[in-house]
Amino acid sequence: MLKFSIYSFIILCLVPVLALTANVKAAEVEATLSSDVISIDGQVTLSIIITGGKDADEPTLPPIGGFNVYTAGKTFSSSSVNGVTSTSVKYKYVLVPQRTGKFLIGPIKVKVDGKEFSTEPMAITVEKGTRRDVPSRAERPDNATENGEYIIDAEISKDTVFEGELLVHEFKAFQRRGAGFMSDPVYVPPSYSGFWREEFGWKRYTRRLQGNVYVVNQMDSYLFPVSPGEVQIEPTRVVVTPDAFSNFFSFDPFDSRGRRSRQHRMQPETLFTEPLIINVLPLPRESRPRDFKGAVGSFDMDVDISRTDVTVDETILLTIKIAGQGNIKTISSPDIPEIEGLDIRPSGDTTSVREAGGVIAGLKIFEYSIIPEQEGIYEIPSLKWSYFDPETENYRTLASEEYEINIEPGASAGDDAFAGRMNIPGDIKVRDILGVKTLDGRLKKKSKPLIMSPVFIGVQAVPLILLAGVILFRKRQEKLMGDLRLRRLKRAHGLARKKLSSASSLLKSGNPDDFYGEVSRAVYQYVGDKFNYSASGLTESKVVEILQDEGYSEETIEEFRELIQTSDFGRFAPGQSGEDSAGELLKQAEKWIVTAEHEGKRVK
Amino acid sequence: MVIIIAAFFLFFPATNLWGSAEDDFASGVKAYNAGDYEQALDIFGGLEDSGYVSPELYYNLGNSYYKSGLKGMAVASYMQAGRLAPRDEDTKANLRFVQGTLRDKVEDSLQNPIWRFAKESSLYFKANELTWIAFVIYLIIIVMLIYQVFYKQKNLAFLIILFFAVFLLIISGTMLGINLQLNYYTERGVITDPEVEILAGPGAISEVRFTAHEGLTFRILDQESGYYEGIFANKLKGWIEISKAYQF
Repeated sequence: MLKFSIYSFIILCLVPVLALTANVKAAEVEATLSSDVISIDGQVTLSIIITGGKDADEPTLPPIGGFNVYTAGKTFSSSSVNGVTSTSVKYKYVLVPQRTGKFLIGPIKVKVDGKEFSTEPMAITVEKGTRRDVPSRAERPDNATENGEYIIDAEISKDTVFEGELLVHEFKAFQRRGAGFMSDPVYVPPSYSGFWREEFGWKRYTRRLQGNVYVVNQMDSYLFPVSPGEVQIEPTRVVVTPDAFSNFFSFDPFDSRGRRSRQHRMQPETLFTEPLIINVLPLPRESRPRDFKGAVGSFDMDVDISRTDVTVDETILLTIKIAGQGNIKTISSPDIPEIEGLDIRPSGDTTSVREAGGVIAGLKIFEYSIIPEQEGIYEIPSLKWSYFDPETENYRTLASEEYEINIEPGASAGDDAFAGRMNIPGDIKVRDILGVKTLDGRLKKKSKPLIMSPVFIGVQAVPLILLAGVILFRKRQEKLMGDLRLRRLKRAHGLARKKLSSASSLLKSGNPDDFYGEVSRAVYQYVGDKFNYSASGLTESKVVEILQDEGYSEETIEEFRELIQTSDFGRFAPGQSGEDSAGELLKQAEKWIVTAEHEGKRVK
Repeated sequence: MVIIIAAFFLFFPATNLWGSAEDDFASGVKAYNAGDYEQALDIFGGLEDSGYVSPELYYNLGNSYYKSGLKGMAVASYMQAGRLAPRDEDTKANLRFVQGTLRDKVEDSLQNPIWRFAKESSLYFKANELTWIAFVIYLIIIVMLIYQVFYKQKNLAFLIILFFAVFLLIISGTMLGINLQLNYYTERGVITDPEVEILAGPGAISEVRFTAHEGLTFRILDQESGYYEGIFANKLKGWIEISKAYQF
């Protein structure tokens, strides 16, 4: 009996579930285009509707040549008729043509409950110039004058939005260039009841429609629905009174239809756009933060406190900046906690709003004055502010950091009558500017900033010049290090002079024998270094040969011979030469090296 | 004798004859504290006219203007004080206070956050501070390059420090450029009349675009036929009669 009861219970529980499953409508996938012929400057909406099924993947679009494809969102709907539950998901894409021609959109594949569905291929024609997607008189008789001189149109950016989410109502009035009117057309906008509205004025531009040039006046109304449900935007009306005189010369007296038409055209005409229905979804109740005050959009919050160390006499400014996209004007400040010992008062708010690429962006600043009532350390807790993000369909909470405020005792009354707060009759605390300052240092005459001073600019060049010098010096040094011949050549003169100086010292110290040897070595060393020979291997005849080969003058060569011979005589016949002749030899050697150095540069 | 007296007058400024500029400043402070704001304004204004500058002078001038009921001039003076002492909290507090009492409360239009950060960090320093920072970094780089020329360092730490120094030089140079542009090469104006009509063109017959009130600042774009062309913080543009505004 018990066993039967358990089975009965399970079966009874399963019956409604199975029944419900059986009653879910079978899956269907359909793709539609808002228009199959469009102009190159227009756009077309591709809608993919998935009806039925429980689990559907996002459609996979085939490559669509000739178009830029933009995702325009998805909407869900669910209905139950006679026990049959029907759910549908609609994916919207905007196709913007890149070139004219005929294009084929291949089958769009969608996986529903694991089964793949394909849509039928669709053809689309992109034409040059004419905007077939703009309503024509034939299609919508109430929105254009009889001869198409004036056409109006209105559309909305979205037909399903959340409460408080932005949608744009775009109204366009097309006036054919050259068409005259008795008076300016009278624009009667819809009441927009059920919406908070922002407008930024008329936009004016020209468009070519069906072979004619039209001046377009466009008014974008940025709307924020204030409550959920189905809301209607009433038709926009425009009253136009065509001017008979401006059309006088186009009047055909034999055309009775034209005559009637002309008489008719002098009467005011009222044009209407179609009413537009918007489905406003309520904001989700679940997971709604307690501090949520109705902001919908996308925002950032920045909280700043002017000072954290003050005296009791001073006031602190708390600034809360909320910037982003949404209905900036209606957003409220985060809740400011009451803190004993601090008097926190709102000191105003400012708002700036602008249109930015089809959305409303802006900044709202809330300012609070924090007036200390007694000294101490106070903590301002994190300020929290929440908004609903319609893109992600989630609530988001922004939080500031915590601040610690240190309030010191104030200056004694009367120190500076104008510093800080003053107590005025009635015990009303009034903030005033801080008092004057005494001079810190001396007053200076007005001068330009340092960077504009020519001296400073000049000084800037010194390190650069130094760096350039160092680089050049280093390069030269590296060159010498790698080239022995060059190094010997560069130092030849210096070394020879050094040796002669050493010879002079030897002479002065009464060492004439060594003196002659040193002079001889100085001259040979010079020639060796200069022409890259080993000094020890040089002889008088070898040097003469080198000098001749290098093109030195006979006179210089002869002087060299004399010099070497005198030196050798001194070396090998000690005591034969006097001190005077030694001094003479030194001078002769110095002179010869200088002459050879000069001549060397000349003959090179 | 006449030449000696003439030379005396020529080489000693008037303030030195009857007392130093610092003494005048002190008497200005005294007058202000005694509640004689007109006298304080005369003294501080006289010092400014003599070519003296200091953050304290502009700050006190701002206070004197405010107490004399000239909010527009007070705003201009505090902004000038802020240029010389950008981190002075008292100047910021008084400017904010005076701006809080103005009829027009215009916020900067939304700016690119990178540009806003660059602007705020550049204006945190004085131009001369940034100049010295950039100069010291420049000297460090030169010294490191000289060291590199002689010792051919391949040490990674050395190269990282060198590149970091170059990066800092670029940053400080850019900040200096922004600071100079905003503080020295940008001409600013402030509305000094209680209410001024902002026109579509430079002339009394031009269409009135909107009305601005005392203390509202603007950037001067052009000057023509006795009018400034100004752009306000919220990016609204218009022409303002020169006699109803003060350029600073």
